[in-house]
Amino acid sequence: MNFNSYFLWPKKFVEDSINADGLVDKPFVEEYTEEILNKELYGLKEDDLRGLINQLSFTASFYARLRRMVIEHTAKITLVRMMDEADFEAEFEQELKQLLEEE
Amino acid sequence: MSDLRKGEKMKEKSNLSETIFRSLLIKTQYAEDYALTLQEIYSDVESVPHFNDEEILLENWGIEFFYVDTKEQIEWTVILALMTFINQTGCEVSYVLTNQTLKKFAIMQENRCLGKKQLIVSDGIEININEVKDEL
Repeated sequence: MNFNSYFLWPKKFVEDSINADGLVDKPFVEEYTEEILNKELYGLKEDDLRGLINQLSFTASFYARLRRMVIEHTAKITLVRMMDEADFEAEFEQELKQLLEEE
Repeated sequence: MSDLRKGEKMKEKSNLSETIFRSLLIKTQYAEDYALTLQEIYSDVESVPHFNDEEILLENWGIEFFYVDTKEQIEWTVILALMTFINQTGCEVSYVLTNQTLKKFAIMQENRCLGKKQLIVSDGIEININEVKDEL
């Protein structure tokens, strides 16, 4: 069975989550997954469902690892920025001190 | 309930996580048995090869996980259970433990309960605990 369309299943949930105003409007993921179950999967046979579980597992793993790598990468970028800012601040303080001493 | 409200509720209960200082720690059989059980749970979870995420069931303990992140959180929860036990009961258990990670966290908590100052250094893989003197 071809499950190519499952890449598009999270689209509406992601868009609605991004567009939500605040916590109150935040959509519940279960509502979207239940809709997929009822519309796309309800009539499938056991073998097909097991195949889908396999593919969803690979996809879930891929996105979970990617999310983690992006978080770690972002943390490194943030750390470099903070160190640059600290260096800049220290240099500024040093120059200011030097100027005051010269006056 | 908003995230902020949840945070406030957690804060009300947070005194259970505060360190209880004691002049000495006790050694008992039940504490040893409990620590060794936690060590077995920890070792079973830690030793699962998990290069790719996959469904894992540890039948002895009824522990199930899929993501490597969940595996790490379960490991941390077991460490936390041991540290909380030491803190709440005042029992010393590090001397029976053989798993180096768990042993180090146990020593860390025991030192904390005894009011010893310590320097904890971690490179993300290994943890080293050094006792520091007051003058430092």
